[in-house]
Amino acid sequence: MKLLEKLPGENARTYAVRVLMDNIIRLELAPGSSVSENELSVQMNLSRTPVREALIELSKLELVEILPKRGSYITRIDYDLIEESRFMRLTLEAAVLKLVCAKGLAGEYRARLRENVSRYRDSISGENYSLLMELDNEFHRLIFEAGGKLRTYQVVHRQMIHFDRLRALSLQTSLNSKTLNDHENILYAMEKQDGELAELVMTQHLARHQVEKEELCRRYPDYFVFPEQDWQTSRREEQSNGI
Amino acid sequence: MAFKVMEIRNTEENNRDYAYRILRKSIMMLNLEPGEALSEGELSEVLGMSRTPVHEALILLKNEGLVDILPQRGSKVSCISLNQVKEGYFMRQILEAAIIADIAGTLAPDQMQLLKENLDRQRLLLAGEEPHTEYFIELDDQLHKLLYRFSRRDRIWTAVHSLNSHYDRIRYLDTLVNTVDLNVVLKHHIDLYYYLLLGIPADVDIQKFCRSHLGRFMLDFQKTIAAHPKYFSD
Repeated sequence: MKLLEKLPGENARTYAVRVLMDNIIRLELAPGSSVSENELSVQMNLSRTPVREALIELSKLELVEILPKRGSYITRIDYDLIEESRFMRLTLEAAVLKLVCAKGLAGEYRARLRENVSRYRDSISGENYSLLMELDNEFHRLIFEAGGKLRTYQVVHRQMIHFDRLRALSLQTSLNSKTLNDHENILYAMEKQDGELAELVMTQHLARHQVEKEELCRRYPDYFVFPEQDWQTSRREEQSNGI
Repeated sequence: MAFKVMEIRNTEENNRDYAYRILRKSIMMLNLEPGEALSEGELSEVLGMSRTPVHEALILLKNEGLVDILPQRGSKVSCISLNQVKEGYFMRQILEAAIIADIAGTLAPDQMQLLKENLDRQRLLLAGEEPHTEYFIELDDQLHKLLYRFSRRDRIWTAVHSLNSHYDRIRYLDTLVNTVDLNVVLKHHIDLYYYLLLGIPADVDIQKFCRSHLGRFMLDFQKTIAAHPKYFSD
């Protein structure tokens, strides 16, 4: 597990939530693995109470499952959950994009978005996945900020953690190479104040994960929740292929 | 603290969940007023449990923006933030228009039946003599929640709810202060029922419909603020 710097004034519980979430998203705490309150408190150098409180918070977000008398587990990645997050994000982000296109992208945000895109471009070869994800998040946060809807971003972002694990996985697997291109196109549409184009590109951008679904499920079967039927179908296919 | 426990505990509920449910409802119904101080000691006494589950419940409420926890100085019910109200409203009208457009004309008979039963209860309530604002709002929420559920997006409702607590409080306040005619709200719900049954008619702009249905509080919000200036933080 990777520890983070404690922020000034941050209490133990908030810190524990932040560290755990970071490790879950980066798959350092792998989907399906068990976590012990005891071990976590030793690793983070905290007492057990804030760790337990943090696990409760994460269980509300369905990142952790707490089974009475059997301990806690990191949940597996669930495509149904991801689809829900995607719907929420696309619907709201498209609405915000249209707002921004209608009133025009303020100079400050134009500069920050351009800077973000160029930093992403320069960082791709470094294979620093945390940095790429951070830049990606920042790009989207700036859109919400430019539309005066930062709180909405925070709600969307919280719900996006399930999606984020998938993004981490696909970055590490080097499947996703379209992010930069998509961001460039979205920025172009905003600068042209073309709401329709912006929405179109955003829709494509947020649907990319569907293409990779099969490959990721094949490579990391333990990380995913398979709906009963799909699972049986893929088992049958495996059997008929003689695996 | 004018805090009483009126509700019986569910059998499957643990202390924390029970404390959370009771406190949340008291805040939403303004029995615990915006800005009011909350003492963990008193709360645990009234709720009949130790302080740990009360403390945990307050943390959950803090995450929803309903409680401010001030280090070394105790907790209080958060004041209503107009910025949060605005964004809560923005999220709901955008998402619900998309959800309605997605499911209109596609629902199964048993789903329509659930909507109809809810509407019947709303109608019955408004026809009766009893005070009904609190219960009506509950039915109103249930109806909207069904839309999310029928599109298999319950979690979005939950997530939006976390930001919507301020919007919900102003909506309740609006209903009380401005004696809103709930029959108008019911009329919207009946319109909505038919959109869901038959599909959205060509001359209906569903985004506009959601904006005006969910934006009722904006018509008289100055009066609402004037009646309770201390409830608001920005």
